[in-house]
Amino acid sequence: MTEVVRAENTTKRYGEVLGLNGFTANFGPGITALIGPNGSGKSTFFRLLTGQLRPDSGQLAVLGRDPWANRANSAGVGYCPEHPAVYGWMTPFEFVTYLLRLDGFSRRAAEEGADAALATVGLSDVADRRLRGFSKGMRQRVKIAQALAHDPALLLLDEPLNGLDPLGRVQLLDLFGRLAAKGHHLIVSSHVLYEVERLTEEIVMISNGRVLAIGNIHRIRDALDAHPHSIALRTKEPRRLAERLTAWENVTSVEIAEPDRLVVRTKAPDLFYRDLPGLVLDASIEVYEMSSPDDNLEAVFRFLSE
Amino acid sequence: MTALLETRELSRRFGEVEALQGVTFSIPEGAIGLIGPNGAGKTTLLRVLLGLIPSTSGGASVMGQDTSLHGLSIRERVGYMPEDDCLLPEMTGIGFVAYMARVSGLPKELAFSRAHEVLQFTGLREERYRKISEYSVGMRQRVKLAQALVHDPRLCILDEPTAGLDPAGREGMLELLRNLAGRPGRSMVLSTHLLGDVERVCDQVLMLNAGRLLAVGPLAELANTGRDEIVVRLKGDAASFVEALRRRGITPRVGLAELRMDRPAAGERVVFEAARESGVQVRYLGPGARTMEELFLRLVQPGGPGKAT
Amino acid sequence: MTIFAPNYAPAPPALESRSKRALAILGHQIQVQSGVLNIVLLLFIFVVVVAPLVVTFYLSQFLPSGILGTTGLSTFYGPIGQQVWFILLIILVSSAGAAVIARDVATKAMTMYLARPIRPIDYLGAKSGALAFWVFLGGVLPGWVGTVIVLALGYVSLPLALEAIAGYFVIGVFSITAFTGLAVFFSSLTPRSTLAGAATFGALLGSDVVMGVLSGISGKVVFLYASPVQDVLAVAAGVFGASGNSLNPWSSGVVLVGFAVAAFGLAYVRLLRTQVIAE
Repeated sequence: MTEVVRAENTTKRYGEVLGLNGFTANFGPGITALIGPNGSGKSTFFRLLTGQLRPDSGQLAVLGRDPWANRANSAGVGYCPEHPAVYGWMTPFEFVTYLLRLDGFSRRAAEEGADAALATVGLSDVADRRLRGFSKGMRQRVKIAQALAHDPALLLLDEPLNGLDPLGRVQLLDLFGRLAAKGHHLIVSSHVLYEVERLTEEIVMISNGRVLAIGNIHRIRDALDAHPHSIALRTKEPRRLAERLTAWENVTSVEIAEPDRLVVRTKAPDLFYRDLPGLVLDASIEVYEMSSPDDNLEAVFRFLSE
Repeated sequence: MTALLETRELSRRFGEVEALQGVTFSIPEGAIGLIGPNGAGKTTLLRVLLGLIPSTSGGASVMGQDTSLHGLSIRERVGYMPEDDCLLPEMTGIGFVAYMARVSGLPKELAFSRAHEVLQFTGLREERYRKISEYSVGMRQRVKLAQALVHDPRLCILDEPTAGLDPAGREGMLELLRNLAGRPGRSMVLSTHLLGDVERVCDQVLMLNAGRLLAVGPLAELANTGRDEIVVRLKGDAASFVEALRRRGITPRVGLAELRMDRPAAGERVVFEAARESGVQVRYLGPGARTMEELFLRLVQPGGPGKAT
Repeated sequence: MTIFAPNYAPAPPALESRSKRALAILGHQIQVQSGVLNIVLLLFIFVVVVAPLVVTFYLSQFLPSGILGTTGLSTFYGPIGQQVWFILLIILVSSAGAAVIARDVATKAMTMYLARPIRPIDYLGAKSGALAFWVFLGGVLPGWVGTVIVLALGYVSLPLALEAIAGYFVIGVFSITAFTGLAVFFSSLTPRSTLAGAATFGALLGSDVVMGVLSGISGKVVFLYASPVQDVLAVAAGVFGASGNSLNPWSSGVVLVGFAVAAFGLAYVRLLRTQVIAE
């Protein structure tokens, strides 16, 4: 399986400020989410991938080639940066066409590409209005159109859903899914984790310029299972259930938080979840709700960042 | 008891654009989520409520005061946290918040002591003595929140408070907002595109689209699907779990990360039975509420006025 | 991260009046204006005004009256007539006034101000007041200091000194309102302070030069009315009884008031148009 992006011990500094610090990760085909706090190195990483920056040390390969040495081949990579960088006096059509021509496309090809890209992001109706009057969400779409316009194999999207209303967010998530289905590769960075979860299962977590975790969401969550979880259960018979649970070896504490609610702490969540159905059914105890604040992506992130 | 926010056939036109059309609602105190596509009229509504612009027809009142007559008085009791930066970078955090307090009318000493209090509440410790130009995004959001709270307003209007925050920052801000929402006698309006935030913090929802009112009311009511549904999240092979349910006569609706089904006559035990049988772990079991996003998408037609934003 | 919910008093604190709120803005703006550059300019102005006054009056003690002319009220016109004072004052008002509104537009802090319980007129009044104070420091105070010094040194009599002080004050009223108005107006036009400052400087000095040229070429004095600097000079000449100025002091005074009213009026309209909550 070919790696789309391969980074090995990549380091990039800006004077004293650290961008990436020995960053090692492989990105496969399809959509990968890049998750990390502000200042963790995501934008630096993207700019290294487009060839705008050169790593101080380490290896970096994009679609098999070194991005810095092959900047002329940047046709394979489309980048949508986080901060609005659109020219207010242009229209979306002019903006996308202009950038395509900078990339070396002929006028005709640039205009066709721009039309297609703007249609893909749903901006065809307003393609001839000045960008100055656009809302944040619309400017965001223009930037995405610009990244898409030369039909790149790899798309880098830095916080692409910023400023979009709920409808826009859903539409773009759909768009990303369709692009992936058509064979594009995407690396998407986002702070809104519940949306990331809907987009892809492959994630790379970055913090302080280094990789924190990489791989499939579920497997990363499994790693989380090696740590204590706190689980809330709603039941009509809290005392009976509590009695049974305290007898379990892996349960460290059981608290009756409300007349119908138990909070259980366990050292081995995997075993707990595996064995709970059996307990509930054998003892005929009615459990009608179960949830845990420790079983989602935010919890993974919190735990790994500490 | 006077409603917190009230409008009567509120309309506002700019030239040919009808930003608000005949909006009528009455909302009690609490934490209200204001949602809608771009261009729906939320910004215009906020401007009217703050007494900054008059309506073209109809009226509005905030905490019992008419917005067209008592704008100044309303702004004395309302705090606003803008979406944009809007800060003075050369000032320190404490300097800025205390200054804003004085412009709101607090005497100097009280302004400073309240500024320290709210900065403590929003989590800015020694950073408050540094210049705002050196602040990260998270710190700026906290300063903006602090200046909105410093004069102890009865109503606080927050515009995209979690924008630009990383997951940890967002968690922190949502915690703060839940804290605020819980205080008696103090209300908030949260205007945001992140419907998940609304679900975590608010108890009421106000939904606009293309200048019209789409929905208004308690979150719990709006989230009520009218069906008795349960939601299940799994770890393991969902397919065999679904099979096990089918064998018991239940056909779940399979979503991206969860399963939904009508509550079976036999109760939730069916879920545990299926889990034991298929060897799949149930990680979440709960009542099926409609998410705000589903409601939103259902009410706002794609391809309609909301499209080109 | 621990969160403390402070013990808020059940009732919100009692608020001070609108004028106190405006004063807070005024005080803050004065602080902002007190940068090194502006203070140095101010000191420079003092020197440029006080020194010639003192020297002229001192020398007049010894030299026969023919050489320096009789020293009376019109001597106080001296520093003004040299125009150096006014050029420096123009630099001062452009520098101190450039950012008076522009910075708030650039940083969008305007939103913070106008979302508070104040009216746009309070904001405009406070900001203009702060700038006017600074122009007073550079446009009236040096004259007063010079007068007090020559009085203290015994070169002039008390009644004369009092007339001079009143004179500088009257001139100051006109120059302050016109210059402040123009600076505030330009600052309200753009978020870029440097542009606003340059525009103020250019307008004030430029009008002086251009109108002087036009008047010279055409031989018509009326062009000079369009230059605020010439108008102030005319008013000063009228107040101090100095001769040689071709404009009518009363008409000049009216023109200056007109400039001020127009400038403040337009700035106010711009403020009213500001969208407090951005789309």
